[in-house]
Amino acid sequence: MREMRFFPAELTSDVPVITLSGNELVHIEQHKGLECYQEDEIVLRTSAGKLHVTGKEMYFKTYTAFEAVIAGSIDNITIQGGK
Amino acid sequence: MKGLKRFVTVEGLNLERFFRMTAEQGVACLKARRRGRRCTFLIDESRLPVLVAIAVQGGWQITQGSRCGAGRHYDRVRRHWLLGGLLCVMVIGILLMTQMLWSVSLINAGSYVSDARIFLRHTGIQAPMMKSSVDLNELREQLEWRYPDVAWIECGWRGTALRITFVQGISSKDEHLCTSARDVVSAESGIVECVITLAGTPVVSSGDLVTAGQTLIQGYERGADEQNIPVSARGIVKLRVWDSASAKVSLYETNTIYTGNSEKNIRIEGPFFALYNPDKPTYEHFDIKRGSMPLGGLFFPFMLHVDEYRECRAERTIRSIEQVKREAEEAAMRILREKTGFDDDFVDKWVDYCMIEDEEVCAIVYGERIVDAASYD
Repeated sequence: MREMRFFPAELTSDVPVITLSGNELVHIEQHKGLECYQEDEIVLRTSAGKLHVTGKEMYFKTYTAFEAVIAGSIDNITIQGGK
Repeated sequence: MKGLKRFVTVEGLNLERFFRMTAEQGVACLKARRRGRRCTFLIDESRLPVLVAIAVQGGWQITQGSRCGAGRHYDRVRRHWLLGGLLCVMVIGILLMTQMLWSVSLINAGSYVSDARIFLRHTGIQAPMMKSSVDLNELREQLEWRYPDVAWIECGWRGTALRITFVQGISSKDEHLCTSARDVVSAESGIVECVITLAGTPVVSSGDLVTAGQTLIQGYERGADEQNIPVSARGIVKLRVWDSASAKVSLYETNTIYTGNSEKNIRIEGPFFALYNPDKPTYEHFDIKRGSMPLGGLFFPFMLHVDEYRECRAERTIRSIEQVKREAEEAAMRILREKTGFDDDFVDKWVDYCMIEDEEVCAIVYGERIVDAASYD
């Protein structure tokens, strides 16, 4: 498949877009569903793998099929695995 | 109800699956906070049936909480609808009451008070009525036409009261005195300069010599039927009056000449005794220079007094006549100003001098001024 070079990857594919604001807010777009939700750990499925967000007293400010906004004291964000 | 947000608590196993299903159904969960097997979040109230269906399907227990934001107030009002209704009625009532005229106050109306009230009643302006039905400009014009003697009239609102202020052309003191007949008599003696009669009949004319207490304007006027109508006389009568003051200043001055001889008398004083030389100096004339000093500091109650007697003699010398005349004139002028008042302007003034027994110069200052003899201030 020919690569579309002039558009951002998130527009042409379903890769997750993760925006971290300080250590209090993380905005995740294009996720594939919630895997695990605890106060200290949230796992979301994405096309790039499992997105692990660890921290303290975390909660979803918004949770929809397309985006999730996690607020709280965020310590670590990692992506494990792949397609 | 669309737009309103409501808190919902969901309880059960695998809450992650519940969230996935809600997302698949297009339900946005806000402020989702999990505590163990229970999770509380905020959803749009219109999506609540979808959420309930998911919960029933998956076996989760769902509990509806309170509304959030404006919805909470809406619920509160719905619960206390009677109180809300009363509040609304009260607010509307207060707003209506502020749009109404509740009192009419006439300020400085003086003798027009009763007539103005009757006029207002006839024109339909009386409490209570709507403020919007009162045309202030028209009312002011009507009142000014009705009372031409009043300088002007101000109409305005002060809250819910209509304030009508009468600004009188003449002071209240004049108005008070005008109620009875009176003459205008002269306050001073002088020659009449001009007479302006505002009320009454003048009995003096320009050039007449009048004395204090003499009638200037009589308190009557000739009516159409040749009858004398008593009035309170008013007017301006300008009088040319003269005042004088004199001052005497000695032509001689006495100077003290010291001979150079002096004696000292030292005196020590305590609380219970005094040590001093009782002998006085033998000089015929002397000046004394006194000095005191505490002995042993301020807290030691002994004082040392030193009196120095300086012999002197008095010498009488004659002064310059011009200087004495100038001093006498200044003194006389000051006395005249104190007599007539510092605010009065003299239209003319002059000075006469005379010598008294070759000892003193007497200056007599005359001041001429124009005064209003009819003024009673």
